[in-house]
Amino acid sequence: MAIQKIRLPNGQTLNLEEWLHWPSFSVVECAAGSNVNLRAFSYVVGDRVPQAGAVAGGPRSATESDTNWVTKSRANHDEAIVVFAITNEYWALEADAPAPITGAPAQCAAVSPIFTGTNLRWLQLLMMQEFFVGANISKPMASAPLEYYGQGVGAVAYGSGDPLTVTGIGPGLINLDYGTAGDINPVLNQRRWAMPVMVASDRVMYAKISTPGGALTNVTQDFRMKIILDGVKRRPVA
Amino acid sequence: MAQVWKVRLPGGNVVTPGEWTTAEPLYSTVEIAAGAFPAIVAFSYGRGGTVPGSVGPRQSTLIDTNLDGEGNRLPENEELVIHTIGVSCFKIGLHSSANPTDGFPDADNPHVDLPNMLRLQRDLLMILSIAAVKEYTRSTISYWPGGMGVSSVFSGGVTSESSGSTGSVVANNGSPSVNGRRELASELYIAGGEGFQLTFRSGLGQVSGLDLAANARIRLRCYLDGYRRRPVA
Repeated sequence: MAIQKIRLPNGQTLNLEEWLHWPSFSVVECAAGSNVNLRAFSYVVGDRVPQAGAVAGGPRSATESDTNWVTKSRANHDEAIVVFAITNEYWALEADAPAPITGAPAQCAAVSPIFTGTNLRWLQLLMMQEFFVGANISKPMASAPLEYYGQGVGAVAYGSGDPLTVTGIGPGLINLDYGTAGDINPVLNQRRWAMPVMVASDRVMYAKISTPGGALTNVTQDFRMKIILDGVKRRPVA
Repeated sequence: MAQVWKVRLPGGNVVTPGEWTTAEPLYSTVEIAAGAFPAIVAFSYGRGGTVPGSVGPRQSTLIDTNLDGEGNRLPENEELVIHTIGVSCFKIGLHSSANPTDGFPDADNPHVDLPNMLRLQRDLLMILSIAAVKEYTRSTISYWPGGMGVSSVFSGGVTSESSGSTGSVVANNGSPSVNGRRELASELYIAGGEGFQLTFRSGLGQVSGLDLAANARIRLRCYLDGYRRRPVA
């Protein structure tokens, strides 16, 4: 059922004639062992993707698959968004290589782009995800450890129960360990805010990804992380 | 996309959420060791304070708690209406090699292995007190699933901890999904400046059989989630 009006916490009511359901997304990349303090939505297509540490693949320019945000760290002057939820996706940029089990036969828990569930649990323990609106505003509009946000998008997998033998890439034997932040379900596993957050036209905004407790020392894969602001967007009027 | 215009509290007060947020839960971390421990109290410290039960003890950062001030009370310029409570569990460190409880294979950190998770759920009581003396909940942590974690798929997986010689079985405190969190039938209200505590203890004085080395800990991150009024600039 389509939404026709949104009432914001401050009493403002939006009529959704020019609005549509539109997820805004932006990726960042982190190296295993890095200290992270990155801002998503701080770049547009063609700019460098924000990276922490020496990421596998090195610095690279953003493509349309990396972000659909069209202005750097602010809302476009003729657009606005109302955010109801934040969710994430994760991809490994390299094979997992836990030090104790790299002897012959070579073993690992995952190859790129599979990000191990154990690595994801480390991120959930160590990483903060925050959402800021406004210039020089230190009060976040959303702030919580990464584990607080469910994962409404991603791949559901089913294991065979047997080790996997691969050829040609990375280690030869995969004892698969794959995980997602809860069961993939946009209805049941995106933590939907009862009070949405509005980013008005031209307002400064960004999502901050950080590790306030120190480096990701136990994470064994470089990874790409997509931050999705799920909600509605007011499109430019022609 | 349900929206809230007014919140009616059990006492009859109606809160209009202008400066409120539902996107910033209040959380605090404590750590549990094997063996006897006194009552361990979450929210008893502010950011920068030491984490109860931790090795060292460890100084907290934003990832441990977002409670500001000296702890044990909500800052004067905040309010909290609690709709859900959740406890998320991590293991930091290894099983005890000197006194293993059952020989069950250890799980790679920060996963908690299944036997230890069942022991925690069996023995660890969580008590929420508001205004110091009155208890608002008293039940074991199994009643308060985290509603977060990792849905794992393993295919013949072996652990790094075992140098690839064995697998293990990992477990969450309940379902790892957002809808797996328990919602309170009536909200709990904490006024600005009001004292509150979230205490963990065991009827046995310890989590019986908890298989952890001397410097290993189960890290519990506790979330009080609902409507939160934050400082106005």
